[in-house]
Amino acid sequence: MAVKIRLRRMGAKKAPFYRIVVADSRYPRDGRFIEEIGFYDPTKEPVVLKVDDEKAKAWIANGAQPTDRVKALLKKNGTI
Amino acid sequence: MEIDKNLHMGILLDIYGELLTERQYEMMSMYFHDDLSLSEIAEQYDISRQGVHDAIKRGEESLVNYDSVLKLAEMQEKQKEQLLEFKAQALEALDECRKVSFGKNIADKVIALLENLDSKLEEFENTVEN
Repeated sequence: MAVKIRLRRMGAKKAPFYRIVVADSRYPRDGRFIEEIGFYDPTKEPVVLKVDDEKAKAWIANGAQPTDRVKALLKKNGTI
Repeated sequence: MEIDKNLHMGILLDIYGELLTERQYEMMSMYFHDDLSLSEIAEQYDISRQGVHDAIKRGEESLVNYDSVLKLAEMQEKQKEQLLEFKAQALEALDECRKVSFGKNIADKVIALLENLDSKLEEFENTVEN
């Protein structure tokens, strides 16, 4: 089972907002996810980025694969 | 850098997405909004990863093209800035009203104006539930 950490777009048309979720890559589109570990709001000044470091690290240690965009955010946040 | 580009594409997709074909929009939405990988999208459509890549590249070009003609993304950004500026001015006016005893009617009008501005600004706001 491939588990991924990815962004999921929420928010309105003029207000992009992303959740950082842990999800099974076999069900990419039906909205199911295992856990929400943070969020990212690029509309605010400065940008709001909140990640549960503990959970993110635990999931990665267990083999969850962050996408490139999530990886970049985690680096920015100092999680990895 | 890469993040910013994807974010920008996501915004363009919001604005001009309906101009694309449904299938192309879906693929781009999966890629930019739901952060799926090319191979994950390819699996859904039973086409090659390269096919998805080409479709998304072509879609990006279309979006950039629409935006260079229509410039709606830029206007949307400007509109938000202007609304914030107007709001600051209205708040200043309200402060002035409070200083004078005969300012009640004006203050009411300014408050109505502020409410209008806030409802417009709401379109640009996210409500963070956490």
